[in-house]
Amino acid sequence: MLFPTAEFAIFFIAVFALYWFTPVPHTIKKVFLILASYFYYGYWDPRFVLLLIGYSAVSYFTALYIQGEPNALKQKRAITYSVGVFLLLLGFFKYYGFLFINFNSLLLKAGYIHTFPMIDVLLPVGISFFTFQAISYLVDVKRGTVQASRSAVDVFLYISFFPQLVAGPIVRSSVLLPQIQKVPERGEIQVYRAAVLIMGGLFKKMIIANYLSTEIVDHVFQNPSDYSQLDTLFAIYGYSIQIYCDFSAYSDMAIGVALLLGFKYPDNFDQPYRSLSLQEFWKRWHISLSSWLRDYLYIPLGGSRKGTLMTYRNLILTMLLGGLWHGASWNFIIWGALHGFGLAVERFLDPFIKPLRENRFGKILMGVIVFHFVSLAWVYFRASDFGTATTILFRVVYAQNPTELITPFIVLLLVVGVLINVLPSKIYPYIEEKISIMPIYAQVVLFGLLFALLAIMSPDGVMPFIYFQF
Amino acid sequence: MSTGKGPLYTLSLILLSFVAGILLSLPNMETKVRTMQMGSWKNIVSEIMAPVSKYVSIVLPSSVYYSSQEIFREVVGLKTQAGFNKVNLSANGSESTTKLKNGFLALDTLETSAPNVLTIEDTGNGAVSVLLIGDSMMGPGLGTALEYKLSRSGFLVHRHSVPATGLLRKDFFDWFSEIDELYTEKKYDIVIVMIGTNDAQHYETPKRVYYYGTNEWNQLYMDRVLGFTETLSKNSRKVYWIGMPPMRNEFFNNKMIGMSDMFRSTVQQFNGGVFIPMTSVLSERDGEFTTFLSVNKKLLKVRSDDGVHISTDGSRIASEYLYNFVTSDLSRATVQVGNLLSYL
Repeated sequence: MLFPTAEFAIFFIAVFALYWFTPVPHTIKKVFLILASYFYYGYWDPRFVLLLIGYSAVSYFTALYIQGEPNALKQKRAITYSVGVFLLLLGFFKYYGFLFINFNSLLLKAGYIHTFPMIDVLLPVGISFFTFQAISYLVDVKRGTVQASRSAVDVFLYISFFPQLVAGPIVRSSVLLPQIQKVPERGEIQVYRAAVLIMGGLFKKMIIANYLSTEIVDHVFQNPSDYSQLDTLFAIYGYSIQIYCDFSAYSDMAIGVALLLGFKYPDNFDQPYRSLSLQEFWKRWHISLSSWLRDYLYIPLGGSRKGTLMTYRNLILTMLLGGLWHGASWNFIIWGALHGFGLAVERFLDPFIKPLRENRFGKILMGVIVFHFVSLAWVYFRASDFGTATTILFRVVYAQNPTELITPFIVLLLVVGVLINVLPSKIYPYIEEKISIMPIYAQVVLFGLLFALLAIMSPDGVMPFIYFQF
Repeated sequence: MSTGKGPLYTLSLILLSFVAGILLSLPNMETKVRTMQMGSWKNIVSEIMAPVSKYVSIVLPSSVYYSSQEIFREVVGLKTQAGFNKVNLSANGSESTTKLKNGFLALDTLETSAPNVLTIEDTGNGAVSVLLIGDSMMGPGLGTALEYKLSRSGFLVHRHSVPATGLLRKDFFDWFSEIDELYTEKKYDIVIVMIGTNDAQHYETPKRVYYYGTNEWNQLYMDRVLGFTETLSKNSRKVYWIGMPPMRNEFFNNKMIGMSDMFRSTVQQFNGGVFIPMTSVLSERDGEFTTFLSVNKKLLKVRSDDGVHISTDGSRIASEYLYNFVTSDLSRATVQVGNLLSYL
């Protein structure tokens, strides 16, 4: 059930009405939200609901055990076992195919005709996201930053709450659990913020991301040797804008949907392409993942506290694993490595770069360099294999075909995509305020018109979100 | 300033906006409902909405919507959905040649090997027109790959795929009137069909139920295929009907084998009708399902996770195969008669 479909709209309206208007105790409402989340998740594949239940149960009991156990060693052992189980499951579902393919390809290359039989492993959608939520809960309980919840209902809802279930954001237990525990105030639904997030998300996904993908990006990435230098370059820019519009749209809609049920999530994207350094980029892009990696991987590895060389190592290792989290493919590993090395080099050059960021020209220059580096790394992220990515990059430099994909519309989409990143962010609260002072009939007409406009302008059918596969 | 609202206000706003949105895009609903990506049991929503949208499209003529969509597409210069992927064969010549690239896979299922050159004489209107129709199997993936392959080679291609449809459930989606409409808009020299994955089910009319697999059902479905092919072959000179690839689920696979047999025997009765088997192209052994296929010592994932649809890599391979099959079949005609259009 994708967000921009009639199915989801009907599902959500039903959940909304039952959640807010049924006169039952708060705990029953939470149980209802759990069941609704299982229905939502089971819509893809009912079997994997068991996985969610398993993750929730392990998280609940392990957290309680850790909290009640004074012996640090036993605490550590318990958390190692549980996190180990989570990672093993994640590893099995995500990386089995990759290991199988590489191993069997090796056998084929060595001349063996008989290869290991393939078990078809289906990847449960969203497993990377709820695994990380579960791990963060256990580690936070161990660190003492979060109290283990005595209510199984709360923990089960925390792991499986449907808005962020399948493609993030990864919401920390310190943020979500207190909100789950308290009874929501009925008069406090941030409806206009939710409306701007959901409408903006629909626009980014259904217009910008969809058309960039079908009109230029897919053509070039599927048949890189058929297009001109300019086509190829614009397809690379196009993908940078597409993946931002696609993924941030999902996050925005998830945050908006959660807001309507009275839950406030932190932002997951903050105009990433206006960053003046890679470090800043990672504070603005997929914030919930990068802060997760910082808190549960980079800092435990030693962060920047153990000397310059170790800092470089930690940066590279964190980004490599961040790449691997996206999926088992050499492309993601290369993408992670590029960012890891990029961050290390940037840190090394910092004394020289710092003065640059202090004047206007230097800022623009740094912004352009960072955007191009990030775009170059996205080529590896998007291309089907290493060879295709290299061909694409090569063809930016040398290609003899005539330009045929660049139209004023494509340029307009790219410009709008860039504007979303560089316009002052206070524009959103401004829009929210303007809508909120309109009379309700004007609001209805406005949203109705936007809805109809999206229907007219969007292509038929909805393409799945890029981040569903992770 | 607090912008918080109560649930009643919020729900009213959501519902009213939703209704306003639907009202404002009424004529669009019919199309949107039909093209929604839904699985078989998830059709309830569209079952409810289909009659509603049919009614409202009478109230507000769909031309209003289509013209607004056309204007939008015209303004931004989109061609792929509403119009045709027209690729000029040559800048100013009246005759042009499209070279066949070497096939990605050997055409072992063809009777004769593909020749190197296919000669297409230009009639002045551009090129040979091809219509691709079908359910989701002809959609993004195989459909788009084949569309791309053909249009890059100089064919005028129009692809029309409607997910979750078939020839059986006329009450849900009527391919027969759809195809009439398509042919009213334009004539196509060649039509390529891939349909049937959603048809292996019972069929209920107000009078009776046709249970899948019974003689009555077979007769009914055979009539549908026959009628459909008849319309196609009347309007196009060549009808290519693509058979089903092996499916992961054995039960479902057996159904698809039965239906492919029906397609084969029906299509071949018509002049210009050709059945294209798909049982070997994405398999290690003919007729055997596989998710991964080794090609040039490299393993590729050729099928989607659902065990039915074809993945991106699989689409690339299958479209190459279909393209070679079609063009070599056409060029055999060329050899016989001199050039393609005089044959057509």
